[in-house]
Amino acid sequence: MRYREGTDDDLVRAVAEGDAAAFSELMQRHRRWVCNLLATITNDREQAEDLTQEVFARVHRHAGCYRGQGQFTAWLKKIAVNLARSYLTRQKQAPLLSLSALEAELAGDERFDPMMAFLSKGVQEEIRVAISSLPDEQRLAVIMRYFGGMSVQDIAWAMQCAEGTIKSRIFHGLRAIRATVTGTRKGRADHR
Amino acid sequence: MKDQALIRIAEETTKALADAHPYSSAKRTIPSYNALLTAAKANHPGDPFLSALPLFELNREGRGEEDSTSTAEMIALFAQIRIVLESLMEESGAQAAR
Repeated sequence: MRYREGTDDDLVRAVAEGDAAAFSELMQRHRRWVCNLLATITNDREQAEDLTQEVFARVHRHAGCYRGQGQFTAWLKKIAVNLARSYLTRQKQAPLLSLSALEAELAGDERFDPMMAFLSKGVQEEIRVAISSLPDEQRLAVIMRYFGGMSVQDIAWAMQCAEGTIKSRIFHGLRAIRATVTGTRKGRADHR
Repeated sequence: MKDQALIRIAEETTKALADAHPYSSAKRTIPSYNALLTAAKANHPGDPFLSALPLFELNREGRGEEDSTSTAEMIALFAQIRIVLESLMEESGAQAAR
C-alpha cells in the first residue's frame, strides 16, 4: 500500500534491497503491457506469459544494476524485446505483423501503448487516414517508430527483419503519408 | 532552428512522455509543442502537411484547452511533428538525388 505513490525508480531501488512488496507493486504496474508486447512479438500468448515471468525474474536479479533515472519502462522494454528476440531465434518463428492483431493485443492496456497514442484525439483525422491506409508492414513500422517511441533497431528485432528493411518501410510510409495529406489539402483548396 | 534539431527535441520529448501514464496530464509540454510547431512552420511556410497540425491557444493566465490534454495525445502531437519534418527531409533528399 505504501508503494502506491512511489515512482518506478523508488521501487527498483527497494527491490534491489530485497523488498518483496516493492517487486509486487512493479509487477502490478507493468506486467500487463509487458505480456501484451511479448504476445504481439511472439504471436503466442502462452509463451508470452512464460517470457513475462522471465522478464520480471531478470528485473529482480538485476535491479541493483539499474542506473536509469525515470527510464524504467525503457529498461523493461529492452529486456522484454531482447528475450523475445532470443525466443524467436530459437523457434525460427515468424513474428506477428498484422496491425489488427496488434490493436487487439494492446486494447485496454494502460501503459506503453502506441495504439492509444495513435487512436487519441491528438491525431489529426487526415493524418490518421493517411497512416491507416498504408500497407500493414509500413503502418506497423511507422506507428512503432513515431507513436511507440521505439528505435529502428528495436523495431527490427520485434519484426524479425533487417534494420535497412525497417528504414525502407518507414521511408516509403512517410512518403505516402505526405502525398496523401498534401493531396487532400490541395484538393480541398482547389475545390473552394 | 534547423529541422534536425526540431526532430531531435520532438523525439526526446516523446521518449520522456512514454514513461508517464497515458491518461495523466501533459500540459507542461504544451508550450514546447507550440514552440516546435511554430519553428517548423517558420522553416516551411505554407507547407500543407504542417498546416494540418494545430497550435494550442492559451488564455492570459496560460490556461486553456491544454488542461484536458493527456500524455497519449501529446505523444501523438509530437509524433506528427516528427512525421511531417522527416517526410520533408526525405522529400528534399530525394529531390537532391535526382
